Amino acid sequence: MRSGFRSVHLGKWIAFTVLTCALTITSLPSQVKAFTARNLIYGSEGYDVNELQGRLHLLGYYWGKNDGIFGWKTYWAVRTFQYNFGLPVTGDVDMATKQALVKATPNWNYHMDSNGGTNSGSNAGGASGLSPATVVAGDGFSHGSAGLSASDLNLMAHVVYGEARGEPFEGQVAIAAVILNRLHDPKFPKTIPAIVYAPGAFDCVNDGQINLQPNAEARRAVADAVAGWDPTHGALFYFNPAKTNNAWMWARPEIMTIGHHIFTD
Amino acid sequence: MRRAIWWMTTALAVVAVGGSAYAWGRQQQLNGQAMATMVNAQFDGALHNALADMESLRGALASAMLVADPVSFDRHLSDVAKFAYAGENDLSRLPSNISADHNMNEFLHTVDSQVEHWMISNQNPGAASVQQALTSYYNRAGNVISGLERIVNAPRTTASFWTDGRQLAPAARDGLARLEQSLGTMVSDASIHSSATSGKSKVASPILVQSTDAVKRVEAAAGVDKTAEWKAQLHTTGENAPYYVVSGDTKRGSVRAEVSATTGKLISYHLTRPIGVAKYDFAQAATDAQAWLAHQGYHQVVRADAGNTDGIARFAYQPMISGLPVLDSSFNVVVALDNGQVIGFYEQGKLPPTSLPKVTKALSANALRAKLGPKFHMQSERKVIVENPNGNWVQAMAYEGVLGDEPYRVIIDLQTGHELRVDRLG
Repeated sequence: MRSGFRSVHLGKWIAFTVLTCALTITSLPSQVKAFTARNLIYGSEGYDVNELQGRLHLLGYYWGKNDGIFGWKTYWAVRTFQYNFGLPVTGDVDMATKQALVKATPNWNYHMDSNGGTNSGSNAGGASGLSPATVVAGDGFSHGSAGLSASDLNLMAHVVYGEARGEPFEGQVAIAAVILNRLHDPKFPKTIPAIVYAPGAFDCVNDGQINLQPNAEARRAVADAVAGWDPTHGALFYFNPAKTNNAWMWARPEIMTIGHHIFTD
Repeated sequence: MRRAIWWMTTALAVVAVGGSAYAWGRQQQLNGQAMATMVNAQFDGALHNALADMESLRGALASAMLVADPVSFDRHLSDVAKFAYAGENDLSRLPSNISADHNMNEFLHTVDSQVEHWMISNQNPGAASVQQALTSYYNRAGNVISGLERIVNAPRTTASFWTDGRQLAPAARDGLARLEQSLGTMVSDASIHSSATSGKSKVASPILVQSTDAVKRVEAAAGVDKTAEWKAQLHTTGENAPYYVVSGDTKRGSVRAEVSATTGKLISYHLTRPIGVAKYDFAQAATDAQAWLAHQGYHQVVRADAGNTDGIARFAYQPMISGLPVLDSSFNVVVALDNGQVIGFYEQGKLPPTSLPKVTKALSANALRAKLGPKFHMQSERKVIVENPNGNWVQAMAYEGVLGDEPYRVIIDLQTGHELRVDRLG
């Protein structure tokens, strides 16, 4: 009898606690998410950039997608905001800019953005809180660089992986560099796909290995080649001496050997 | 009786298996033939298209020579550029592994670049140099057409004119090789060579730097001092030659760098090591990269681009000359975002000018802005230094903004008002 009374009492207490908690949570004002301590610059990615874009959009400065990538439109929006609010116009988001933004948008919350619902994770405080766009970049380039499109870069990564996986890293960069050297040479077609798919130009196209999924190392090799690393110093051709008996290829002036490939002028 | 049945059964089984094998083999053979026919048809199609475009190109060159009216001249030049580009595309679909020369492609590229330059600079149709170049192009186009016609009209006894198993068939290979050879002398003809497409300088530079100094240069870049085991190998061929390839190991990974044997400058630097989880602040990495550049002696630079892939940040810095950024020259610094260490450095583009290119009479700001299209929504404008189509450094205005939803940069020559190029950003 006594234990039954205790059970009823305990049940009431639990019900009261749950109800109180629920009321407390629902009566709280919508949480205003604040920036983390890190500065943001062109090229930054992550939830902080989502917040930056959301606040700038609320103020009417930003009209692009809220994608968490600090691109040109975000950069220009930041500059305009900085100019209008009397801040140094740098395009970089430092503490002063963040404070001014937060002050100017007290009612902002992440639910206001179309993709804000996905941003409420604990990653917000992390220095490297990566956006979904970066996850896409893990499988391939999501945006272009140095005048080349993302599909050009991805195609180059396929060639590098198909032709030189297992070679030392500079050997992989060298394959990408040869493609870029051809792009800048008047003897070759003017686009990356035309260079890659020119009949007989690359063995990996002939044997289908170009369709293999490139790994991160191949993508890194492409990125380094696009950034200017040319271990071949201007080579336009290369061949594997163990597999080639093409007379004119052997007759080309050799520049250097990297891994299993001889690179020629 | 039982023996006869056994033999009959065996014979039937052999016939059935053999017949099936034959049918399968025959099917494979037919598939292979169909594929070869398709490949041959594609090569033939590209060849015929190349011939048609070359004939159109020759016609457009003739038209350009026949008129003195600048408007008509520009229209015909536009046709020349169009057919030259189409011809390049046709050639890119033909087998390319017959020769390293690619003279046809170079010829078309030269024509395309030259007429584009004439159009930009409003070249006088009657100028002797223009007429001489057009005549040369016209004659060369005629040679190409004759060569292509010989291949097109070559007797085709089978469907396999182009392929012989996995190799290029001798008739096609020899025909294309002869054509490339016949154009060889044209490419070396300097009188019709566009400055924009001129070849790379092959003048050998002297070796003024010792290998030990090259190692010291890389030591400073890597921030290490124990380099007794490091190697420096001299290379004397290729662009930037002579240069040293310096390689060695550090506690953090292996270094491979290149140092000019003439100037002692660091050409490239790469540290190979496993990259951990990205946890370093991206903006801080940019600050570190610029500090690293300053440590290497590059103080006057401005950040022009930044990106982040697979836990590695890449920052491009443009050199500044008298406060103006040089757009066609950059220093790229690679930073690992696991700990913020610089793991790469590469120079890109041309060497920047040593002084500010002179402007004798610049157009007014309004006159320059008037060169922009009405749909271009400008966000920023700034003076820059760029390379013009003649390969000279000039001052220009860079206008950055959007067309619809896409970011673009329009670069206009400060003095001539000519649009030098349009870059799509991002």
